[in-house]
Amino acid sequence: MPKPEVGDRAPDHAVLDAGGREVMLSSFWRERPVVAAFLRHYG
Amino acid sequence: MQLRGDGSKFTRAGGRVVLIGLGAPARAEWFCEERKLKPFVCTSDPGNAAHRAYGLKRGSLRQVMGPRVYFGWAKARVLSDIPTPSWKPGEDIMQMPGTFVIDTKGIVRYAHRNRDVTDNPPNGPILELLHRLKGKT
Repeated sequence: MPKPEVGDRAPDHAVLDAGGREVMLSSFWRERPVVAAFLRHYG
Repeated sequence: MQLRGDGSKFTRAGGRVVLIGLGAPARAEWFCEERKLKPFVCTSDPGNAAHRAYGLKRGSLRQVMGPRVYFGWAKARVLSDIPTPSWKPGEDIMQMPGTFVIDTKGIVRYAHRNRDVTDNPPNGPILELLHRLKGKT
């Protein structure tokens, strides 16, 4: 799978919100730029 | 990125911070409440699929538990009150983190894949980029 770099289109992927509902990452960047911080764990 | 303390700066710079962790959604909600990370959006990627889509792989032992990681963590423990890390089922200690800035057209404007788990980028350049993007929208 290609790694997105600067200038590439960001992969739009489903994640789960706090209620467990699927939400697309694009829904977050539609209105304002997003800082997407990928973590390995919450804790 | 550094999660603690700068939350409102990202909002003032025109950005939205979305945290994408492994494990259960309830764990994400607990973490963000406990660390007082609002207004960050806390989401879950239980199967690692979003992590993989951004080119974030599982790390090596050196990247996750090597000397640089251990001494970096020990130093941070001495200099601040960071809590002891803990893991729950579904979370992956070997998963490598990363940080990306994505503009409103869906284009990657910043990409950082950690060389080890302590290699988090400073907030300054990310905030500067958000200010620049704000001026263009």
